[in-house]
Amino acid sequence: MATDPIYVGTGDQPDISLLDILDHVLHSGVVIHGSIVISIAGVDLVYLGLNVVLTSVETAMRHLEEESRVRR
Amino acid sequence: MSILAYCIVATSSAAMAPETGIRNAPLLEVEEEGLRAFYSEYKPSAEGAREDALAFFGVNRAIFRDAAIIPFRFPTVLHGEDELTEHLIEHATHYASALQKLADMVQMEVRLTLPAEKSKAESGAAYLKEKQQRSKALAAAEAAIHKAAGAEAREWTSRESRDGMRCYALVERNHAVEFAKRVGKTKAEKPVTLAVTGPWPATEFI
Repeated sequence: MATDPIYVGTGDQPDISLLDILDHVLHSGVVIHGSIVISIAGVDLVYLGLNVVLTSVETAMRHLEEESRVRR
Repeated sequence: MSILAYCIVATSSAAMAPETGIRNAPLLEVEEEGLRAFYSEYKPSAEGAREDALAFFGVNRAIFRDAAIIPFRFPTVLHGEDELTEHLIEHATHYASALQKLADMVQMEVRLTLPAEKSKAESGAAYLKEKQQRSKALAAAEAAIHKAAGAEAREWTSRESRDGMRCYALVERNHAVEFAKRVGKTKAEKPVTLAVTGPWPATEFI
């Protein structure tokens, strides 16, 4: 049976946030050690990309916190 | 050309994959030892990393809609298809057994959160007492939601997180909504708040 692609969220915080999704993408799943080896001029591009993602997560978190403060 | 690995499914599953992956690159697959792994050509770059991560999620979610998957963590970048094939062969027994176990299962998650508070403790003993109270509040909330989940949760695991605790339940695919309803009705004692999310691939039970 197919799983509804719309993720359910209940409880005190019923919304599935971008943070939930990014958290899963970045922290859940199989890791292949030694896979992240692509670099140019000593700068690891994948790690660089990840930093950007993580920075975006932090930015999103700040926005969410600000929104929640406004709602109160 | 480097490739980005998305997820693994059992060859016998009804998994339907989209035609394209990140940045509209064709979604390709390798098949080994009764397993299929999806990938696309990928040149990592800092620009658009968040969009890539979300597109990656979209591909895995589409495949997960019809079948159990073992996702790769984003971004798993390999030198080519051969590396992915080698990985599948090396871990085939483990992945096949995990996918068999998870065939009709999904992971539901309960996030228990405590408000971030700066400690008012004036001594080490007082600080430890504060910490103990927070742990007790989380443990009580976990016990309440585990009880509310009842038999819906076939397996259960939890771990403390930066802001509280994450609980993971292995639930039958067609019982995910029922689980969310049951657990979502639970009232955690203040100051603990709870949020139920899912269904997710069962990565905590592999």
